[in-house]
Amino acid sequence: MTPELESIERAAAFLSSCAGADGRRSVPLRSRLQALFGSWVAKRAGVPPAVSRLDAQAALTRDALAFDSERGAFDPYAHDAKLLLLCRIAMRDCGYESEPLRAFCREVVGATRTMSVVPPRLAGVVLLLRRMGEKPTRKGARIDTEVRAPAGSLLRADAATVRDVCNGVAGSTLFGSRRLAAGDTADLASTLPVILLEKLRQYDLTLGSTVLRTLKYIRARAKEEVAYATEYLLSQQKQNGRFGYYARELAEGDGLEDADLDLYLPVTVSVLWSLVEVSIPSFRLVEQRPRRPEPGPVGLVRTTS
Amino acid sequence: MSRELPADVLEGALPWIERNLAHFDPFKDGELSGLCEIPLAELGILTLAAVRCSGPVDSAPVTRFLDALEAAYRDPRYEERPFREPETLVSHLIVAAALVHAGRVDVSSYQSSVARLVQASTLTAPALPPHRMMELRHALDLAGVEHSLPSYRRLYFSTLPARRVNPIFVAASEAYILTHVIFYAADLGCRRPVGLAERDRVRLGRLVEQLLGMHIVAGNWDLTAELILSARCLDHASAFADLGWECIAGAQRPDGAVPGPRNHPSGDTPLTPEEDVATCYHTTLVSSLAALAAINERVLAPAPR
Repeated sequence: MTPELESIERAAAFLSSCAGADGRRSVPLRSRLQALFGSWVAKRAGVPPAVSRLDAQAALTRDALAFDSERGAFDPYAHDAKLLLLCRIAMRDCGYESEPLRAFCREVVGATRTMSVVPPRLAGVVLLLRRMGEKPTRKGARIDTEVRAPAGSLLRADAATVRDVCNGVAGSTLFGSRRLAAGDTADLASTLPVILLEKLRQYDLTLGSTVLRTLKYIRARAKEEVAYATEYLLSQQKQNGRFGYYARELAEGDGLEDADLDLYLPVTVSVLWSLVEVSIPSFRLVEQRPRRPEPGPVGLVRTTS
Repeated sequence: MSRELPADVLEGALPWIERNLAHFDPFKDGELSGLCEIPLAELGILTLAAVRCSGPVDSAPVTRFLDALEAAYRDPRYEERPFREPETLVSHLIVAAALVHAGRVDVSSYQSSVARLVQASTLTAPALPPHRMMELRHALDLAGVEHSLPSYRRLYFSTLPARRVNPIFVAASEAYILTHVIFYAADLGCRRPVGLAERDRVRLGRLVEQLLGMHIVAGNWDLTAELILSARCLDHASAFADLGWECIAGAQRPDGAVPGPRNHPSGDTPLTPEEDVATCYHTTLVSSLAALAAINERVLAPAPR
């Protein structure tokens, strides 16, 4: 087993232990979604199901969604839309369907079908819906997948701008399964490798790992920087599988209720995902071909009990 | 690379340094002690580069720099210091070299005295860190002092940049070690790097480029200038040098100073004039040094065997 895969396995075990698969109480929905997504990625990278406990996480997340929805506490727009859609795919891979997520998809499709041009910020959502077998655009509608870089060099952009650019690339390439025009990525290919190095140097592991994935999505020639980043990230994993050493931030008091769920879980999911992307060149988060339309009769899949 | 911005930065920086020459005076705090000669030695490096530069350089401030160097050099208390405290020798050699290159002093007797000192003292014993040994050799060579130090190649092999370096782990202090090793090998851009094989030059060029991009992201103009100069020393065509110059020129104040990384008040109290100079002088000086290299119509001397 390579160091990367061994690391991914330990990270998956951490996700499983800290967010839900062991019956832990008071795990917020946001954390359940993150853990489910991370575990699904790990399972697709080859981590044994017993480690990721994906099935249990999918069931717990489905139940949490149903519970919140029933009491009117589920606001899909408070979450990242792509994360919700990916979690729905993860649940369906386990044979579960979530009614609140199904309703969310319907609502989004209803909105995007009114558009003649889908703007870049929604491109990823629409492409993802298509891969899920939905029909999110009407005939003749165009999806604008252009990634708009900020004025001036990205090297001088703030973290929020870099994050937006990376999100744009993830959406427009559908997590690397579609190619962008070379002209759209030339500037990114020259600047993102050093941004990757510096964000990790600044100990922003989440943004650093996001940039790392983006380099794969734009097919940048950055083998050396990717190797440095991978080596660095592997060195930032604790024995229990989590990524990051944040005692300093926690001591300064960021007001986090639960360091594992609020800090280490999202960081670990992001790093795990990036390690999967770079250590398995053939890995694609989303398949190239559209999935078959979802099953009609609810009885064919496991729904909320 | 454009020469306009470096020339503009230089035009503002040299008069600022001239107006603040008192900061470089080793006697400004009384008797010579500790590291008091270092600012003067740094002024010596800048002056030497200005004297050797074939591009247009305002001679008025350079003449004042030489006057300041010569005044210190001719002070018996300054002259005797390395003979009583040999660890200060490098700073003195640089000052002597600048004055020799400007035709201000005849150092033939000084050279033989220093050669005896070097031979008799522990200076060349393997007590110094490898990059310091390289610095000593460079200073002895500049001042024309005979010595039996190992070749640049042998010295280089023991330094940090001779090994594979992951830039994410490189602390600022280590980045300065890298830049200085390159400066010594390339005699601040006046010769092809000595002691570096072609593969070393190419590899270090890549590393310098990565670090330059990282320090532009971080907004550290001191290391940005050092790394631009390093790229020049390595004959590395940097994709980030122009952006680096834009950043340095953008940071340069109307009075000509280029603020360093610590040029900001720690609390509500503004910096005193002395603190302001102390936190600007190095960045202003190294920006000038990089600018002189950028405007120099140099014909690189071959590397001596």
